[in-house]
Amino acid sequence: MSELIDRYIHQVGLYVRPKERAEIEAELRSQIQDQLEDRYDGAPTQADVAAVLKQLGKPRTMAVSYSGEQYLVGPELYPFLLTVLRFGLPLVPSVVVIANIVGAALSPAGGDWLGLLIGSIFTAAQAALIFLAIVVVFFAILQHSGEELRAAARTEFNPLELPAVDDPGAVDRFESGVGIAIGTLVGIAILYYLQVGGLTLRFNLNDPGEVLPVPTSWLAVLLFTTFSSILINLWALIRRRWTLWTWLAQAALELVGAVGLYFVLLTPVLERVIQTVPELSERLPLDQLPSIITLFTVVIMVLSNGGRLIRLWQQQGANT
Amino acid sequence: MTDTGEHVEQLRLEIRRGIVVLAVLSLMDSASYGYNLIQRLAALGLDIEEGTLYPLLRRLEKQGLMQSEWDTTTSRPRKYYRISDTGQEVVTALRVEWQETVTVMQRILEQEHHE
Repeated sequence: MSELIDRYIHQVGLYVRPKERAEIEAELRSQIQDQLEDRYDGAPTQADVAAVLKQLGKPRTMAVSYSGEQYLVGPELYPFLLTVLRFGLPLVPSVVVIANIVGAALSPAGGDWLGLLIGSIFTAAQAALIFLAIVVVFFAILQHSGEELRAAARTEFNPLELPAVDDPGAVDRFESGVGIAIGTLVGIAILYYLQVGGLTLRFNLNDPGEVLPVPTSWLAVLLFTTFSSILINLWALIRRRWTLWTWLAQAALELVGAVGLYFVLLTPVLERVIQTVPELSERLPLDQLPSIITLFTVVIMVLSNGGRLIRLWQQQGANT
Repeated sequence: MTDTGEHVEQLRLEIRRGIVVLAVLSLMDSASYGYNLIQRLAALGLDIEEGTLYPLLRRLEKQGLMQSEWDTTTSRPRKYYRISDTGQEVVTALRVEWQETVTVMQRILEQEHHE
């Protein structure tokens, strides 16, 4: 008789939190015995015990009742998860397919187009799944550690605090969603390049094709700036506004990213172009091109981000 | 079950979900153990399944609305629950809320009946 109770309680214990298991098991045992004593006056048969256990319900259902509602990504963050996936899921496979096709077109080996098509579909599906997994893991981490972010998502609505139409702190959901999706894609690509030791347009770990070596330390810097930027964009998206400090951090990350691209992309690629087509460098200042592009990008970034930064600074000054 | 039956059952469960907490808290002035509480509620006309009540008692304790104690002086240990000070404040406020809800709902249902 008690063996049946043991079996039931053991099954419940398998599905509750380990730190609560002993307490729940003891409590449940006591409650089952109370029922048996009351109904059968302390002398229940196996069938009586089975009837009581049946009334308690399936062990797993009972265990879930003890755990309460649990989410991987809760209702506060779920709309933001959907926003990121809505932009990212069509974008990521498309970019991978285009990169594969461009890579094959530029390859001197020429190619088997059917093989390329099948390979592209397979790689695109792989990239979409990796993207999905990374985004879900990001949000799950936020859900289970970022109490401040969840609290921000729950903040009470006050119409008087609605932002002005030309508010510099306003978050463009499309811009942030695309930024996070592209950032994740770039992050995946950088992880891949770190794995294969350089740049390539063929996204296949078993056969990455010709790899152009690049400084690993700068790849790591780019990885850091990319994932930090994703987190800051998520923060802004969930809080529904940019502050002076989040925008400053975002602008600084973009500047470091531009410098990183100088070392990781522009310089190695142009060096390869000069090696391949030396006559081109006689006509154009190709060795200067990486510096010119980086300088131009930095100036554009400073101008575009700086304007918003000044307006945010003025807004903060006016509010204090 | 018919569509109407399913709707009624679903809404009945939603109504009961809120009621059960108020009912349990209202009966916890004196220490009580799980099965005893089920019997007291049943005697007053409210049937609650064991699988619902036992986890609920534990959740209310976690929320600070109840406190518990194991009695080890009897032949076998038994866990007794009692309402906490916070729980007492909550149940007092909920009783007022409940009375107002009942009054309003009676008014609404009677009005519908007369129309």
